[in-house]
Amino acid sequence: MTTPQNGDRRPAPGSNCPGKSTISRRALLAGAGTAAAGVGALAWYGSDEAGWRADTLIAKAPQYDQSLVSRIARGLKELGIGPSQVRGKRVLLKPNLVEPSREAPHINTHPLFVRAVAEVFLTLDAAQVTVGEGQGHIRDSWYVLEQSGLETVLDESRLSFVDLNHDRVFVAKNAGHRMKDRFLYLPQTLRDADWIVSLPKMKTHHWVGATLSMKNLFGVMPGICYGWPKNVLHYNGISKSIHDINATVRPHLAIVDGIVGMDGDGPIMGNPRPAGVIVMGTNLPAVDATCCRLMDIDPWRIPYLRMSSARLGPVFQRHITQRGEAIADCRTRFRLLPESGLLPR
Amino acid sequence: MKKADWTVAALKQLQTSRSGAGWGYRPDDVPYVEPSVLAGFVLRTWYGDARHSPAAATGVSHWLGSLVQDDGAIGLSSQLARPHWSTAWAIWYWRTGPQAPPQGQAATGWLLSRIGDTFPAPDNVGHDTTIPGWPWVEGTHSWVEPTAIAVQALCVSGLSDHPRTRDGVRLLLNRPVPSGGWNMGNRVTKGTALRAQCAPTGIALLALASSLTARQRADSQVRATIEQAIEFLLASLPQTRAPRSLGWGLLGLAAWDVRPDDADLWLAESTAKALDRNIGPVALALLLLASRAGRSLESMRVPTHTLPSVLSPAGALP
Repeated sequence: MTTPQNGDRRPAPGSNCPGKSTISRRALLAGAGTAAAGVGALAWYGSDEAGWRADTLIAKAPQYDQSLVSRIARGLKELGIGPSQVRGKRVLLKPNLVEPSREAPHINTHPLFVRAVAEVFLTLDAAQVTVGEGQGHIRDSWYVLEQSGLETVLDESRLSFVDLNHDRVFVAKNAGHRMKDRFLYLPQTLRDADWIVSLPKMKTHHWVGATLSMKNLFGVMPGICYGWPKNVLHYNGISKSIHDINATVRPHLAIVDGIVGMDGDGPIMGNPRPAGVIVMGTNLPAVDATCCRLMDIDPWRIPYLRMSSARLGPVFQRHITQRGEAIADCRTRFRLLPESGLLPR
Repeated sequence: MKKADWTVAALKQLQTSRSGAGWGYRPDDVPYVEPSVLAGFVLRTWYGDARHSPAAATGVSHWLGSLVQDDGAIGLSSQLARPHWSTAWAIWYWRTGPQAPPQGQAATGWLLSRIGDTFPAPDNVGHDTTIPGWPWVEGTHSWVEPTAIAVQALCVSGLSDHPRTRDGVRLLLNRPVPSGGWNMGNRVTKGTALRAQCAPTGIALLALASSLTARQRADSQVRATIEQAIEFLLASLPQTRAPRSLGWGLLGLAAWDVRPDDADLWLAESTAKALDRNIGPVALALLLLASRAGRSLESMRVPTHTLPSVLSPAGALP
């Protein structure tokens, strides 16, 4: 594996975390800024997608049980990921724990899903598997772990956890160039990982249509630099921020928990939506585009996916080789709020 | 474990996790402002009043002084000069200690001059977006925690009546979630009421205990806000052993003279986990402060108040 960051360096004395961008004064609520960013992206994608091609895999998984381990292992094998790629490597699993509540477990990546992925990587002889999160709505990471049920799983599986909100930080050049910020502050744990694996929940999102593996990367941005919520990213435009974070961090793999997702007023207040699928792949825009098709959402209406086309990966279905189950056999309609930041058809 | 045992163990681990002039977020980290201030408060609480605080507590004060920039702002650490939300923390620490450094005045001036972004409220937002509080990062919107800490810092600086302090109080009173208590500062999004969280609720209660005027205390709506927040914490704290939530929650309750009967048990259980996992100075400091909440508040010089008509003599809600 190559190191995931480019041009990174440690912060020098007097370094600055990102400051204000002047994109939208109303960007607290992000809708206006996001839509504008998406429209601007119209000119950026090309039908050839610059030669981008990617494989994604869909696996059926009706429930959270021990069979997840074999389902995920088979999927990775089909994607060409085995012991030779993983042996001796340090793996960082980034679940989505945005704002846990015992009453609403469908907000978060399911703890048993995280454990299953960890078991798979350990079986493939990973040197270390760490779970990391920098949730955006609450500072107390141990509260997040406790309320989500992940703490118990981490204890039982002897997995370590890193609070990415309060980790050491380093500076990386912004490789995406859509945000105004020329540099991004990122947690040191990312630089120490050989595999950065995004483990999102399959959810609708009331500002950008859907939150999947790319949006999940908001949760690597350290809160001490970006706040709670990470308002700097809202002011920069959510979609531009998603694009640039992914362009800079370059995560290596996504495995989406679509067993029970969320629709309606996601990412927090929506309804549980059983979809019974796991989606995985090494190219995150392709994985997210596939998830959108499974959710019966046009991926071209998702601003950050349109922005990522031909830059970070393929979005056109014809450029994504679909492995495992067919989309048509697994599609579940996810209800969207009337105004969910979708671009026009 | 007896209270004396776990507090001694926690205090020992906190002291050994000191890194140079202060404390970091992680045990092996460089010093940051927020954990250093919290650890300094612990030392003051344990080893004497502000005028007799140990060398480490005084060292924190000097180190904070070294971080003051030309305009009075203070970054997160000596390596991270921005953002500046830590400035309020340093002021809070200085103004409750024996002597504020000369730079303290500039820092207070900086804090008073900074205003979170305001704008006309878009549809489906549950709070007044025109009230100027304090942001996490300059140029962005105001949120509960940085505003509460700024209010706290200004009150201990003798600026309770300053218009900026009153703005901050107004913001806090505008932001509780409909069911009671605070979260990061979003009440309602797209028409849906959001959930409260323990730590922001505790921090907001602490700041309001320091800043509410007599007239505000007599206001039925303000009283209802405080009562609901206390009720939220009394219902939620038994369900958590997370140090930050438990610590801030108990400190917030103590600021209103409320102490759940099982608080020491919860703190002991939480501390055992925190020690076992070595999860860092902030957790230990908050647990220690909450274990002696009354004395801690004294060392932090937060004026404690009671609501006699709301709270029974035993401190429980009627």
